[in-house]
Amino acid sequence: LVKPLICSLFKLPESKVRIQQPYQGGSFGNRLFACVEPMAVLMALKTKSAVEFTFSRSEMYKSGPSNWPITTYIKMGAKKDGTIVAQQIRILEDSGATLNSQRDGRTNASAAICVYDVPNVSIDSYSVNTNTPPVGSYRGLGAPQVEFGVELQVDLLARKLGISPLEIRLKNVLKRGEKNAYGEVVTSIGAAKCLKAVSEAIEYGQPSTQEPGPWRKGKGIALGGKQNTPLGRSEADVLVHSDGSIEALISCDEQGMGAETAMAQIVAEQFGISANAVRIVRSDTNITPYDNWSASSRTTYNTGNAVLLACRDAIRQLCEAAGREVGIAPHLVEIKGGKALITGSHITELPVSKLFKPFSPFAQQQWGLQKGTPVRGHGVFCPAPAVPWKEEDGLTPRMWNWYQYSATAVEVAVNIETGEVKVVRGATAADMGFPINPKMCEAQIEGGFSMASSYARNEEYLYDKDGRIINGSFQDYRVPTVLDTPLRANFKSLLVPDKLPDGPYGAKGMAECNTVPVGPAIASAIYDAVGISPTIMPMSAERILQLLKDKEMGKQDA
Amino acid sequence: MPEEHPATIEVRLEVNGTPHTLMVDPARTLLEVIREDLGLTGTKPGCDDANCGVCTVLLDGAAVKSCVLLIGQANGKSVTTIEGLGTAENPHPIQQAFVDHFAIQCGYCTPGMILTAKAILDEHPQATEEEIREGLHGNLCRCTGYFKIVEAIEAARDQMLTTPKRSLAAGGHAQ
Repeated sequence: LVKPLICSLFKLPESKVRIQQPYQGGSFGNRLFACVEPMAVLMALKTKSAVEFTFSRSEMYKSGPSNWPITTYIKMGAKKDGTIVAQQIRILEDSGATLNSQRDGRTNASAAICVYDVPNVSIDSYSVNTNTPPVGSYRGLGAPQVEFGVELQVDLLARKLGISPLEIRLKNVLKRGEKNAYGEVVTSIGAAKCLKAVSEAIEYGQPSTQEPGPWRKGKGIALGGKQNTPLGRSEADVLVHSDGSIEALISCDEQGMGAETAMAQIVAEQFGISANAVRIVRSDTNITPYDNWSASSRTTYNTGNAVLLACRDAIRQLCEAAGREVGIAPHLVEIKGGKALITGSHITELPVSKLFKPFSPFAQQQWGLQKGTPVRGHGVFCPAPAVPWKEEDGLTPRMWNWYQYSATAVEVAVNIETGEVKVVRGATAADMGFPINPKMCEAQIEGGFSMASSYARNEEYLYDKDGRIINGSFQDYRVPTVLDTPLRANFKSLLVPDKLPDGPYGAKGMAECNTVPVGPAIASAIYDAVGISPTIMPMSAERILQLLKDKEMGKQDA
Repeated sequence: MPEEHPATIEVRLEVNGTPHTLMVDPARTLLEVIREDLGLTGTKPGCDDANCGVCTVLLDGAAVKSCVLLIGQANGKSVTTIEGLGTAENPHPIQQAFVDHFAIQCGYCTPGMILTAKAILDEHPQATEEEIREGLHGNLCRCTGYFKIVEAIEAARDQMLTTPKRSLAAGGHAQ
């Protein structure tokens, strides 16, 4: 993605541009589009020497693209038993001074329809340019904002109908095999199981125990889903060397999400060896094969499928070589643990390293594998293309590849004197299709919970009248510290996979959706604790205190 | 006449056990000297205003934020950076615990986290979860949500309590 942009911006021949990606800090999506890269190229072209371009923290806030605010208007219709039959939604998103906005409403609209089975849906989505800094992709791509509205509305509906927030969600959630509002068949959805898991984890049905003092406790629950955008092609090479060691060449990003580890695990599983024995070579446009980008939680699915195909290609070549060696059809050979295992011959196994012939500079007619030249398996994976929706009814059989789901339940304490909201207990369950690395999936859930519970309660960009950020530093824009997270025993991360038929080992992706239900679960818990319904994130102490005062004055119906 | 600042001052530092005598512009920070003059880039810049903790080093054993420490303030003192704590072959128990407990995602905060953890455990070898959180709240991490970091420090604490101190002296200088 970066290379074609640099080539076209600066009119450089492709052969003159080489991109090597170093390890980067976590960016959560906002480095998806090139921002510092063109600056560095410009400097290098002017000075004709090696240059480094560094953003200070304050420049990062002021000009680095980040998340954007969305206002959502929702009307829902339901039967008395809680079955939702219609929803009408209007979405307004503030895209800031983003020039080349790719926002066409589909991502936000998808967030609003991917969780519940609603037969009649009407959505209008508007992207508005303003004077605030440009916006960029950020974890969830609008889903946390839009679904905050959807989930609050579902809670409101449950209250009107006198059924519990858990029950109304279980009643309306989409099930595998059903069609969503686009008309797509849902092939993997663990949403209902996620809900049940988090409900059990915090004993959602049991009321909170209240203590004397200003803190009032309450419990809340919410659900979330997020589409995966079909972002084109991923390729991978797998090299099996004559000494049996294996390398995988990939070009997906590694920003700490563990993509390299997951890819090494897939290779290890395919070859029946330890993941430590797999070396990953990564992201160099002169060496590693093409990958569109790592975005939309797609790496495990997209690059993972390419790695799987590359492994199978290499294994096929090894099976053919072993078959030739013993005179047997390749399908009777299996490659496992550095050996070719053979059925139907008196030779039952051969070390893979023995399939490579010694190198001799003078020998003629050296067919087959040769020492020093690895077997190269190549894999190309292009997800099934999206089909544009029809103008007349908005329906399409395939809008996206798949959806990731998660549910959060929290217990909060609200200080009725200051408006402060603390999360005292919580659980998030995520459906990632299949957890290739369960510990890393847990880590993504925990990080997502921390991030979302902080921006739900605290984080907010403040602008001056010209749209400049005035709190652009860690001093004034507070990201959560360890003291903002619950004690370890009070948070559970739960893996609730529902296999995706076309994912590697059934895996899809996960790390965005676990931010989606956190905000609405906190809002729901605040209502349970003190009977007010915040509708704006962040649910800051000031806003909560104002709502509490309004309630006292009788301005808000509880 | 206002007193003129000298262009450079002499600074004596012991970094990871090695003594250094440097002529340095007094307006520079310890972080800049560590990264640029000594080439020890394990110590990271993050915010330049002491809010994020990725630049944390140990100064005479205490965790300090090197981005706001003028180099003169470190004169005559002993500095431990992440490079001085352990090696890949012989990691410090806290480093090993961070790996074992998946306490690292992008890794940018990790050197500061580990050095802060060392200062916490040196001062309170039996630190509770609450004490670890209290000591760690000046170090920001955007990836992990902190759960696995605290878990790793608790695991390192338990291991260090049951292992004789001598055998923990990984990578030379650090105890």
